Amino acid sequence: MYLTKDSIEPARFVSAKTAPHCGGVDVFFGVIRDYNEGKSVKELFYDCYEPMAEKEIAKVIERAKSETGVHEIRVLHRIGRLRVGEVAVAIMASGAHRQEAFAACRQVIDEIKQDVPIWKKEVYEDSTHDWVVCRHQH
Amino acid sequence: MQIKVLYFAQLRDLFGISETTLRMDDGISVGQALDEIIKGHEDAVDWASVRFAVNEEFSHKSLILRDQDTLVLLPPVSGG
Repeated sequence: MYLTKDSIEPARFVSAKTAPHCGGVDVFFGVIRDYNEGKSVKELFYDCYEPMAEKEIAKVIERAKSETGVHEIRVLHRIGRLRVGEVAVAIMASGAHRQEAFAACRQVIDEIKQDVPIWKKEVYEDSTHDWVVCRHQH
Repeated sequence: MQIKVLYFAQLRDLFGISETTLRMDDGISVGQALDEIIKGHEDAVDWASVRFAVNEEFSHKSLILRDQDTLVLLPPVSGG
């Protein structure tokens, strides 16, 4: 299961042991920021087509493992209502060397943002809201 | 035949529902079903940016729907 409605705790996420032949471990956390495009963000809501998102994240992981050669990739994506400062997505890639771990982590977050059916609604301090359409490679 | 249609994010807001069941003619494609579904909302959304899934897999407009299929309209995603 790659989706969770519960808080993602960074220390717990990275606590699992990696394989002894993995010398490079790269971790990425996506965290809720308090502003976007000039507006003050109060909270976010992640909508999700859960059964398809689980399948698509599994495909993203398998593709990244195959293309980079890393040994293992872990992904946890939060859905539902999140506050500023909370972790929205956590990714850990472990491989023999750092280059493939960095590459796998980046590929996974880029493809999640491109292909996994999850949608982000920002709720602003003035109580207006917008569904986010990612136009940038941030 | 009957198909189930699911709406998410801004499309759920637009249609005001999460899902509906529609009766359609046998042999219609995803694109033809879309034409029916968006009647009255043609200018509300950039429909060219919307992707489709049938039974939890990405699909093209040319795919022929079958009875009891689940069609999902996927606005541009923004996870992460």
